[in-house]
Amino acid sequence: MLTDAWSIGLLSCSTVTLFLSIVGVKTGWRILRSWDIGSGSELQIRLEEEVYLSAVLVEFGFAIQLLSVLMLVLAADYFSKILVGAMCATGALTANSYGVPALIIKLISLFLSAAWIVCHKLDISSEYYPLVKVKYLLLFFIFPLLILDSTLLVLYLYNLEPDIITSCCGVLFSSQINDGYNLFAIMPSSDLLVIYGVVAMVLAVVSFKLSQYRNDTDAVPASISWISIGLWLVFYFFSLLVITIFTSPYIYAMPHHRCPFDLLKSPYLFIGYPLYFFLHGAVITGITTGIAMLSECRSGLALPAARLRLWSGRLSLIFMAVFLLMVIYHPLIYQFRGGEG
Amino acid sequence: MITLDSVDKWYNRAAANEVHALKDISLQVSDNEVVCIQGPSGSGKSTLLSILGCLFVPTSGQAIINGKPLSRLPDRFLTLYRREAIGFIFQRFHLVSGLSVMANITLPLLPLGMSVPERQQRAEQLMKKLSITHRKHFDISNISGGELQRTAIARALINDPPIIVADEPTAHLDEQLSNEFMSIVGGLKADGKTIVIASHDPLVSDHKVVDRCLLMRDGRLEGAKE
Repeated sequence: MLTDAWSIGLLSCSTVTLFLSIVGVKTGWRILRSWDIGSGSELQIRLEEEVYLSAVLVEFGFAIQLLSVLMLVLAADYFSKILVGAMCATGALTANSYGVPALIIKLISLFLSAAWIVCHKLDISSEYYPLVKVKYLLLFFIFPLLILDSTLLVLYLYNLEPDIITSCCGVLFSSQINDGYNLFAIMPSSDLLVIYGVVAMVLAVVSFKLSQYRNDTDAVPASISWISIGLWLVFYFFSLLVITIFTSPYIYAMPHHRCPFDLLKSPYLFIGYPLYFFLHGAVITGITTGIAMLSECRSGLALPAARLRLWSGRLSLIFMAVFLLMVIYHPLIYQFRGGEG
Repeated sequence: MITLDSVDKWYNRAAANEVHALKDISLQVSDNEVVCIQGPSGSGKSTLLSILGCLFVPTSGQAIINGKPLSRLPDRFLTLYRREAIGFIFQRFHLVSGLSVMANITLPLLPLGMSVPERQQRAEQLMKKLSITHRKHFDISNISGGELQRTAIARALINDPPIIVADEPTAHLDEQLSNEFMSIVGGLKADGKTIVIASHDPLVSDHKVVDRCLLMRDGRLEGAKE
């Protein structure tokens, strides 16, 4: 399957991201070793001239990485038409042991890439690159992930065999929850909804407080920012569970059809696109709020970081509200109408 | 206050045509001081001026303008500070042909989003001060060398920068116009401007308005000529 158009597209994205990251890593290595903004040495001035271009290249690479997550899902959906037994992207991703890890690594790198872009935007909003070491240190964490991502992608695409029968929907349509290979079904939906509700409420309160906070009063401890970032990631994880286990059967109007990918298809009016857009938008802007708050104490960043925090904090709340409305819309309609009709 | 701290400038470093244009230059220019930098052609005067005016980044060392290492700022910040802090008068004026005197003078105000009447009012004041009001609607290709010079000065002053940098400003002027230029410099000094002029014209260096003369040779400042 390596010669398929989708495969070539995915591999091209991966190669470009990896190549541009190598440029960044090369600059980053010298920055972490020699950066000293107070120095007027030749090396420092050369680094200052180089850092902007290098960071822009990495930013471009990461923007491609963000798009490639969607591309992988669409490619998997396309592969499901070729692979025997696969009815949607789930079947294609579980067709070999590399598909799901490839998706997970892509999702992790999506958030790290977004965090890197936020750090970069904050960094260049000041005259003296206050976050330059932080962002290049972060790049050193992301880079191995990008190598792993590319490796898994190649392995996944190389090992996709159209002749081998896969089995996704037989399990997803099962009435039991933990009886087979289901991507996200790990707990009963009633427990899940309680936990999810609590997480969403706590997150909404924390995010609201953070977006209202004015830094001319007293400082918010860094731990609150980290907790907020952690809560957004927990919210993301539970949101995927809720979409799969709780919401999707109402959208499909089939009690045992639990699939996070069929939502992207035309019979369901492509509802998955806005649903995932608002989910990812909420989480990324939520994480942005946390990063902005952590950066406010850095010299030269108080104003731009506070501005970003207010903007992203409000946006994350709006995205979350729209997402939650979409999540409960179909179940509520079902309850009020007493069924499909 | 302008401070240069151990500034070196190389062109085409490590290439066959490399030039070490400035060698370990340290210099301080106080507020409201008029400094003339003299030296033979190719001694590094223009490079020094370009670094003082933050047009070039030094290979090593710092150019600190009013306490800020301007030459090292990223481009997007540098552009803003340079626009506010420094006015340039170039040897060949670098006016935009096809535009009128008025349009050339108001050009630096365009990015500021200032209204047309306000721009014109500012330009009128400067043109009056520099005696070129009668040429305001003339295309710059139709005015004399002295008027070109005064248009270039007006353009350099339109943002009211505290620092004026002039590179060989009298190179294309006759003696009378050069004297006129120096009397304009005297007026600017009286207005509190700091002025750095690179020139090998004795009419400039010997003029009473110049507080200090510095001699450059082979990329080095060889000391003051009082």
